[in-house]
Amino acid sequence: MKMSRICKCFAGLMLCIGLLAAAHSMAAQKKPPKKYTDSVTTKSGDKITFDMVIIPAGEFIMGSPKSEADRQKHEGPQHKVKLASFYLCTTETTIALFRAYYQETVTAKKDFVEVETATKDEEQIKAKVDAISGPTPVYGDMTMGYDDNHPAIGMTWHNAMTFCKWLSKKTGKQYRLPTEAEWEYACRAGSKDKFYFGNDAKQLKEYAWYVDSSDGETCPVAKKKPNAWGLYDMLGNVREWVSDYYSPTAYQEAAKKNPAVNPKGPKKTKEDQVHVARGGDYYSEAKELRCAARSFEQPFWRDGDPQIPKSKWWLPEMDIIGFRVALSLKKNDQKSGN
Amino acid sequence: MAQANKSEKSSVSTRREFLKTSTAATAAAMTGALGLQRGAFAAGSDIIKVGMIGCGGRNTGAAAQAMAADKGVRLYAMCDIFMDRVMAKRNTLKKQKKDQVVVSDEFCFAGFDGYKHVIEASDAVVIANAAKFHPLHALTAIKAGKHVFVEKPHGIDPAGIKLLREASQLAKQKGLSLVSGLHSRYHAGYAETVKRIHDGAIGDIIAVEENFLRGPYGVIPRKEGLTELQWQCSTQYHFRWLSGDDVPQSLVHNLDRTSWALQNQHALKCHGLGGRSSMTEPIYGDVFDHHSVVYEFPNGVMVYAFCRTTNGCYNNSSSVVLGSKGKANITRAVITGENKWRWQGRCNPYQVEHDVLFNAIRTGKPVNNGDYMARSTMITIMGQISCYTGKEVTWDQINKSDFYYPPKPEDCRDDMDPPVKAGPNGSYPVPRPGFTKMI
Repeated sequence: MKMSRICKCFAGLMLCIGLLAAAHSMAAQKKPPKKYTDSVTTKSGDKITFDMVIIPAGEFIMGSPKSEADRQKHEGPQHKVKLASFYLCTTETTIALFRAYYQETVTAKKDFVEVETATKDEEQIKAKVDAISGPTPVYGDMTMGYDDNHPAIGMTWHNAMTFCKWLSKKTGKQYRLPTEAEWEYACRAGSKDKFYFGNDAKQLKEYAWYVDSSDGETCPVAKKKPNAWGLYDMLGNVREWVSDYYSPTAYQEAAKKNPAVNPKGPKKTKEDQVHVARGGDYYSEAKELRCAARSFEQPFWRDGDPQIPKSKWWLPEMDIIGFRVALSLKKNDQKSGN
Repeated sequence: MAQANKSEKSSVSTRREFLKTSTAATAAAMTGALGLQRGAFAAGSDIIKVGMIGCGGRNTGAAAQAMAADKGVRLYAMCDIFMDRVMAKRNTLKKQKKDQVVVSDEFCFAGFDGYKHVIEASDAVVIANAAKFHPLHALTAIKAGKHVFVEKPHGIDPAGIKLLREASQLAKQKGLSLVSGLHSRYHAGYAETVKRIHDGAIGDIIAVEENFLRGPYGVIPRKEGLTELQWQCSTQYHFRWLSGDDVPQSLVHNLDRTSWALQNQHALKCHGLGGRSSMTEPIYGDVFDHHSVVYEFPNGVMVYAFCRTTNGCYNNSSSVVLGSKGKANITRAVITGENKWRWQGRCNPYQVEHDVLFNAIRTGKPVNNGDYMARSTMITIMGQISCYTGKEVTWDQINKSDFYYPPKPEDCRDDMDPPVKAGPNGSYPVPRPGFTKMI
């Protein structure tokens, strides 16, 4: 009896250890999902979903070669970039999802009051205070007359960033904008060509809404062919905010490291430094849809705002600018995601 | 605008960049050859002294646009109800236009009478303050021989429109420019759309749908130490006696486009519905938060106009003209139906307004927008009053009326009691359709 009880205990203990070890090795081996669908439920009970796809870790050559036609100087020098794995949304953020954010966070506070309290806001964001101070009411209509399945448009970079904070709070995952390097890597999906499908601009019509395929308006997301990694509308439809500040010499700096590992772009060096927006829009020409083509906020993006100070949240009438969200892998998943 | 745009070449040359050329061409066509007749102004002096009446966000933008329009512009004098706003905006503008902002302390004025001093000190004024004061301040400036840019709406009551018409007449006699902030008229894409409507692209016009459905005007927390009068002035969009409410404030752009599309006709009559149902806290003052107005124009053309300032509701901002052969969406510059067309370009009408004004001053060829300023604003005023009273209002009725929101603008004093006061629960009395009488 006694012996047998000890044996049983011993056997039980061994079993526990075994199970733990098995569980541990399963956790280590279990790869993060290749893709997943996330959702938010609006206050009125509507469920809005969006699809995230894994972007494998790897190295790529960022920028364009000097030989590439229509290349701009700031696309060089080409340099090696090494990136950890991350998730990227298969589509541009839609009006449906952006409206949910807008309606939940909109404040009636005036911009100039916010300017006075801006520093405080930043501190609060750093301290991860729950309350998200959302945009002021848009002067006019946030959708500019477009339907729910079109990309969200006309938001400042700050507004897009605030959306990511809101989405993170809603879903419990830390959504963010991709970096410029992540964006180009994901866009290329392994391609070294002008476009992610090759070098023939004639094929663009199958993949992108741009000057020769759109009717001078944004189009519903995910109606054209995706790239090799399942991403829609990386080229055309709307330009996409990325997290980096713009600098014409950003690549010269990045090229000093070989490779640049998870680069985050240049530091802010002046008060009115603008951010990068990639991919061209529904009215871009083919050359602006090259994977390496860079663009950034232009003064005319604020022409529709006749006030001073300009809105921190809105670029009125600018239906050429939107964004898509990214998500870093958890640290444990990072290794197995390689 | 054209000059500014040329200098912003991005390294990725965009289609839009290239469109600047066409926009620039349009602006040049509208303004004439800029600078050819330099010196026509002020007997050889190259400097145009500009004064700001009102130091809110819009007028600060307008002052910057004036300075961008003409290198000889010097911002010389400023006024607002509040001196802290004058100081703050002087700093803001100095950062942007260091060489053109030359407002010394003795040319900073506060209070209701500040406008008189600004007008005296300036060659031209930009006016964007509470709309109640737009007609009086424009008239005073024209009487003093000064050129005027004034924001919309161009008045809030029939008495104000009378002053504005007087200002417009006088400006014509004196050869002064009177330029309106109804920016649609200076938008190349809207102008081309309206031209096509006039040329028959959508056939006969049957009806027009106008929407301006959006979130509320910004609110600011009431600062300690403000008197009730100062509080109301600091949040003027929410008080009828200062702003005239949302039909003049918002729908004036829409109804100006309607009237423009209809060959600058005025409405014959209207009936309106309005109320206050969601934004009802005292911080929203005594304005309505939704209005619907049905207008009848000549030839039986019906115009359905809607505005709302409420969070969490459907938003829409559009001007859609319905014709026998198609539809024109003016603010998107798109025509559908038998003669499909889309304007491709971009335009900063806010800058064009000032390019036109200062070119007119330079060349001695005055621009006068007075006719449509008065007409379009009056169309909104009749709609607003119909919403408040619940009665049909005709064009003849509104033009015969001497109604004004007391006190008259010239009678406003810094130490007066405001004309509206909150009741015991903190709420302000609002009109009751069916009971309220105004005209």
